[in-house]
Amino acid sequence: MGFSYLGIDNATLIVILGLMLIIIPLRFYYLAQKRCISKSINSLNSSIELIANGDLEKTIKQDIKGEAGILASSLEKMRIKLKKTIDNYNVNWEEKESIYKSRGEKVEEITTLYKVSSLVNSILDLEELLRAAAEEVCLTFKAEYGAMSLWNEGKHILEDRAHFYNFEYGNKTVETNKIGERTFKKREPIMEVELGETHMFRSSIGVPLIVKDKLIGILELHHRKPAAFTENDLGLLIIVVSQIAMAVENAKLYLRISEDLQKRLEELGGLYFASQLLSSSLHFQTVLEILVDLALQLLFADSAAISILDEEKEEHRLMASRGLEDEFVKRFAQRKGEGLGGRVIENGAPLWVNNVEEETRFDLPQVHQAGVKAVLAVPIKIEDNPIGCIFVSYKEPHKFEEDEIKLLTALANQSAIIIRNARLYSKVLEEKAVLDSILYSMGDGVMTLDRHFKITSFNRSAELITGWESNDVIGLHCQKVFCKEEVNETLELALEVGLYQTPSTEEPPKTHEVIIVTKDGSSKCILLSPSPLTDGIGNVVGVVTIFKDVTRLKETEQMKTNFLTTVSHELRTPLTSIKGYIATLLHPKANFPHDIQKKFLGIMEREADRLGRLISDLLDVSRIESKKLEIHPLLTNLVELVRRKVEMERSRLPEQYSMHLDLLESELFVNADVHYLEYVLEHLFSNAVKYSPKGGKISISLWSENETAHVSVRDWGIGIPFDQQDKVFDRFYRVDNRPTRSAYGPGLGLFIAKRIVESHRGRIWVESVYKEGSTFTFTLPLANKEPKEEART
Amino acid sequence: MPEVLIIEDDTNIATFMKINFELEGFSVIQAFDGEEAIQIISNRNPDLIILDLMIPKKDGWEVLEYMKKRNISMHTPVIITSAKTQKGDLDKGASLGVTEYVTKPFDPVDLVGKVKAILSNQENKS
Repeated sequence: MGFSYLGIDNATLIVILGLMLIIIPLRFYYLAQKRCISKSINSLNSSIELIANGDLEKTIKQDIKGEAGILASSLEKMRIKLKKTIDNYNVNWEEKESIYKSRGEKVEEITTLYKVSSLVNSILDLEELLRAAAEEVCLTFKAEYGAMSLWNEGKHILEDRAHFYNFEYGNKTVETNKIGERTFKKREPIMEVELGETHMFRSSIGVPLIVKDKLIGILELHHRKPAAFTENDLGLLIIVVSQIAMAVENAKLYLRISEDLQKRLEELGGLYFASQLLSSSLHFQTVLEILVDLALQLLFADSAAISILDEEKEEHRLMASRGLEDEFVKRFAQRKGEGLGGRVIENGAPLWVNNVEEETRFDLPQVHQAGVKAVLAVPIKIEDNPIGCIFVSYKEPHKFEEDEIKLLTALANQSAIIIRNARLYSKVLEEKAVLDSILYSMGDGVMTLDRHFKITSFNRSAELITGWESNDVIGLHCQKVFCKEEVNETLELALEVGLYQTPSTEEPPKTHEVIIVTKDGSSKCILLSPSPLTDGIGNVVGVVTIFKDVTRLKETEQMKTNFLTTVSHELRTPLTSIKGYIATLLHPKANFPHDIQKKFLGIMEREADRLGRLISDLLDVSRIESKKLEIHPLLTNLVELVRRKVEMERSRLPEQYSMHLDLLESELFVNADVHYLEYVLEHLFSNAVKYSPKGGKISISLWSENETAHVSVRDWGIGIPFDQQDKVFDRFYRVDNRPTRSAYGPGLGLFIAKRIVESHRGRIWVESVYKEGSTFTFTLPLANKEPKEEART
Repeated sequence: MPEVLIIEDDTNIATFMKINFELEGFSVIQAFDGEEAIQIISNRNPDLIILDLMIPKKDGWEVLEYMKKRNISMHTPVIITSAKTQKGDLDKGASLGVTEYVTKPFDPVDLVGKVKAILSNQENKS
C-alpha cells in the first residue's frame, strides 16, 4: 500500500480503510433501499459495528438474502483479512504498544479521521455534505479556513460550493492564492507552508477530489501562520479527501433522484400497504408504467421499458414502455439467454451496450429494431431469481457510467418488491373475483354468520331460495329472517353445532334438515351444512353454511312413498278380489246358482282388467322415464275419435253422471297415435268421474283455434286447490282428497297424459276452482291432411 | 251366532268376505267407510272386527284410535286386512290393540278359520 511515509503502521491503516470500504457501499445500499430496510440491513449493521469495535472474532451471518447477502459475504471476507492482519500484528504486542505510545497523537488523529469519514458518509444532501466536510476537515486539521469546490460539467467551471471559517476575519476578502485552481489543474495535492507575509494565508493545502480517475473538485485548507500543516497532515488529508470524494459522488447520485422522484418511489413503496388498507386496487400494469416513467426520468433516457419473464415459456415480453414503437413492443419476445435482456435474465447481472454500431459481443436484432444506439438492461430480481428486466435506451451512443448502472439497479431492486406486491395483490384480486363468481353462481345457498348468528354474507342462490335480498338480511339475526314468530330451535341448534364443531378435513360437515319461512311466508325445507368460520389464525369467528332447498325433493320423496303404498294397494285390491272369488267359488259348503257364479266370474274378469290396466300404466311410466315412449302417429279425425270414446264412456257411466259433447267442427285432422290418444281421453274422463263423487255433468268440447285442435273435459266436482294445480301433472301426484277420500289411484294418469300430449307437440293444462270443478284442456297441432290422404284410417 | 263387522270400502272384497263368513255361520254387518264404521261400533258390540286401513272419510287408524279410546279394542279382537306391508304399520297396529294382521290378497277360507280360532281362544280364556 505504501503509506509508510505517513508514519502510520500498515495494520492500523488497513483497519481504517476496511471500515471506510464498508461504510461507503453500505451507505449507497442504504440510500437505494431507504424505504425497504429489512432485517438483513440491521443484521449487517450489527456485524459492521462489531468490526468497528475491533471485534473480529465473530463470523458475519451469511444467510442474508439478496444484495445485502453479497455485501455480507464481502464483509465476511474483509473481516477474515482484517483479522489475519490484526493477528499478525498482535504477535508482537509489546512492539505494538510502543508504537502506539510513540504515536499516541496520531492514533488520536486517526480516530478523528474516522469520525470525519463517518460523518461525511452519513450526509445525503450534497450542500450539507460539502459544508460539513469543510468544517470537519478544518477543525480536524486545525485550519483557519477551509473550502470545497466542485467542477460544474455543464458550465465547465470550478465552482465554490462550501466554506468554513475558523477565525475572525471581519470584512476582509479571503485571498487563497488560487491554490484550489492550481490543484485542480495539476490533479495532484499541493502544500505550501512557507508563504510570505504578503499572503493572507501563509500555510495552504489543496487536495483534488478524485473518484475512479475522475476529477470532480478540490478541497483546500488555509492558515494564516506558516508551517501550520505537516507532511503527515497532508497524507491523512489525502485519505480523508478520497472518502469525501466518494461521499460527494454518492450525494450527487442521490441528488439526481430528485426529491420529486424520491417521493414517487416512496409513494410506490407504500402504495401496496395503503391499498390494502383502503382496499383500492393496485393495478399491476399501472405499477409497471410508473416504474418505466421513473427509469426514463432517472437516467434522462430516450426510451425505457420493463419486461417480465413468462416462466413457462422461458421468454420475456415487454409489459410497459415509453418512447418505443407500439409494434416493436408488441412483437418483442426474447428467450432466456437471447439478446441483451435474455442474457441479463439468465445471468442476473446488468448488461449494457454503449454503441450498437460497435457492438461485437452479441447479436442484438431487437436493439437494432428498436432503433436505439445505446441500451442498459438490469435484472429485476425477486429472491435472487430474475423475473424481468428494466431497459433504458438512448437514440445516440451513450457511455454508461457506473453510477447510472447502480441507479437503475437500485430502481430495479425497488421495482422487484413493488412488482411482487402488485402481482400478489393482482392475484389476490383475481382469486377473489373467481371466488366471488363461484359463490355467486353456485347452485347452493351460501351464507356466513357471526358468532351471534347475525348474517354477514348471503349469495345469489341463498337469495333465490329464501326470496330475501342480501342487502335486506345482512346484519340481521337469522331467527328474524327465517322464522315467523316462534324461535326456530332446529336452525339455531344446527348453527350451534356448526360453530362448535372442530373443522375436519376428513369428514364433511353434518347436515341438518331445517324448515324455514321464506320472504313470501311459505315454508321451505332446507338442508344445512354448517361449519365453523375461522379467521387467518384459527379463531372461530362465526359459521359458514351451505344450504340446499330440498322442499321439492322432500315432496317427491313423500310422493314416491305414497306411490309405493298406492301402487301396492292398487295391485293388491284386484288380486284380493280375484283370489277371494276363486276361493269362494271353490268353497266346499257353497253351491251357488249359475247366475251368481257368472256374476263372480264377471267381477273376477273386471278386476283382472283393472290389474292389466294398472300394469300397463306402470310400464308406460317406466317407458316415459327412460324416454322410450314410442308414438306411431297416423292421420286421424279427432272429432270421430272423441265421439266414439264419449259414446263408450257413456255406456259405462253410473246413472248419476251425464256426459255432454259439444262439437264445433265436423272434422279435425291430427297426426296422432290413436292408442295413446285414447288413453288420454279415457284418463280425463275417468278423472272427471273420480273427482265428482256426487255425480253430475261432464262436458267435453272440441274446437280448433290457430291451426290447433283443442279438447277440453270439464267437471263440476271437487276441483283442485290453487296451490296444487301445477303439481297435478307430476308423477305420483294425487290431489289431496283426504276430506272425502273419494278417489284412489297411483297418480300416474295425468303424468302419462302430459307426456303423451307433449310427444304429439301439444300442450295440456288445467283450469280449476276449488270445490267448483276442473277443466282439463289439451291441444294437438292440426295436420295438413292433403299430402297424407292415403294414410287416413 | 257370532257377529263380525267387516269394514271394507271395496264392495267386491266386502261381498266375498260376507259370503264366506255367512257360509260358516257368522252373522255379518258391513261398513264401507270410517265414519260408518265408528257409528256401528258405538251402537253395537260385534264379536270381532275386520278392518281395512285404506278406507274413505276416516281411515283405519282413526277407527282404531276411536276404539282404543272407548276401550273397545280391549275386548273385541281386530283383524286388519291391508295392502300395506310396512314394518311400521305392524308395530303401530300392535300398539293400538290389533290382534291379527292379514295382508291382501288373502284366502277368505283361511281368514274365517283364523277368526274361529281367535274367538274360541277368547271363549276358553273367559
